[in-house]
Amino acid sequence: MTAIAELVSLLDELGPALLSADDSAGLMALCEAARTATDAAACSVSVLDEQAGELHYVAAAGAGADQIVGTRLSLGQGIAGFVASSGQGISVSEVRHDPRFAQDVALSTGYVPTALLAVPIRHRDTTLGVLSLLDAARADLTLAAGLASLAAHTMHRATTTATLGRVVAVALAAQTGSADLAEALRSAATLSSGESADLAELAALYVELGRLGIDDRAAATRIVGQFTAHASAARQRMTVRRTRR
Amino acid sequence: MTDPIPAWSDAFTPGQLPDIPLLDLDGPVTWPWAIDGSTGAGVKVAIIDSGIDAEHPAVGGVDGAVIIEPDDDAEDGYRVVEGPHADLYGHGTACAGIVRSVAPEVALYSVRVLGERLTGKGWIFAAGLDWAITAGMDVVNLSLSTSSDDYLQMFHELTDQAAFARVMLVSAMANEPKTTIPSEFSSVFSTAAIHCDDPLELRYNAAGPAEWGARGIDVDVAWANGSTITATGNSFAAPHVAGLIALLLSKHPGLTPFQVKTVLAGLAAARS
Repeated sequence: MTAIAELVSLLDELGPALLSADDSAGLMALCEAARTATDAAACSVSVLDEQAGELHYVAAAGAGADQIVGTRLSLGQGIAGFVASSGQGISVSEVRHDPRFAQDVALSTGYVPTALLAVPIRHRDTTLGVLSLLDAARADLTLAAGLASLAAHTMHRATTTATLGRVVAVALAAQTGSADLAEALRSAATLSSGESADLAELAALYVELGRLGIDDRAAATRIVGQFTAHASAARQRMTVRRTRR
Repeated sequence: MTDPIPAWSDAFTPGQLPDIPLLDLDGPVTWPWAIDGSTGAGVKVAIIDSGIDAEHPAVGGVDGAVIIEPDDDAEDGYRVVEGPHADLYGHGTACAGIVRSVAPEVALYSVRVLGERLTGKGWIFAAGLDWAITAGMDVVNLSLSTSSDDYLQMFHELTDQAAFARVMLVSAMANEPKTTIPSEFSSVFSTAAIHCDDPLELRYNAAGPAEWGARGIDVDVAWANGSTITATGNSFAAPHVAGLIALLLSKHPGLTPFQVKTVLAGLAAARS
């Protein structure tokens, strides 16, 4: 592995680790504020781990908070699992002898609630996790969805910042002009996942383009420019159509 | 030589048009005219959801069950597995129990589209809807939706197909304000929850996109493992409307979606 690829891979691992302390503090503060505002016994935020098929509880405040943080629960069952899988919120005001419910939410925390309000945390079309309120005296699905959108911003920012670190590394690498660079970057991109992989690959393509003649570069820029204009116009048309109703 | 006629014109040639029942009303729509004496018998209702626990006392059995799941080897990328299955969450059982409570003699069909594998659930959901339309269901309860624009076209085609096949799609709005496909399409019966105790309470909102208001707040619903919970969500308004439509279709078979909407609007007005 070249030094550059090693650096990219290192940042890939380090980025999220360095950021997580700050972001979980933000989510913890959000849980505490949500719990106080809704007069709930507890509030928790879990992150959806699609590959593992689990919800990972990363922040909580109130009853059982210390116990629930760090817990991983299977998506395959229960109310929170339903919310994450379907992207639909649900409010349960009375949980009567549902052993599955108790297992999911309450067993490890030592607090068994009567009511549970769970809503998806979404960014654009993607479910990032679930926000749950236990025994909230003043909350409904709409308010919970508003709280979830605050959590969504924090969670999305964490991912974006991690991605940004990687993209900066890729851009820096491009400046060195090494012959093996495009290949190294491409292998770094394959190591990464999702949105960041796309960006890293795009950066690698730009490095290659940079080596072409001025006419080819101008043609490539025109094509990318036209594509970007077309894509943003299409998105705008969709938005207009959606807001017109 | 006769002049060529525009496309679709020949559908209106006398004798070619499909039959539709007449609404033999003496005056405004009334509840007794619409559903008195009806049990939902003869009407097929599909619940596209997390599965149905057929053994749950509130459900009282199902007439059929399929699981739609991803299959990389299949031509369309999914397979249909027929046979009894469990409800992974409880939500489908909740919806089935509500339909059964409103229309006790309907034939219930479970179409499970929510599984352990989360990927591609939008198109798996669409495949479930396709199955329900093709299988000749009369009413389909959709207490699920997608908010991804990627599926706009796919659901547009399916909901049009359902409307012209006289398959009533009852589709819950999402619980928060966001894109809700296919609930926000005008051809479906989109529902939102209202606070009331009467399972046949009905309100009509002509401005949409939530067209029908029905019971859905603090409802006792069947859930996983034979349990019962008290829950709130637009999800639970949909099966109340689906059950009501089943009662209507059992007594007045063959109605088209716009006829059903006309009757429901009349029923809502009769209550207020």
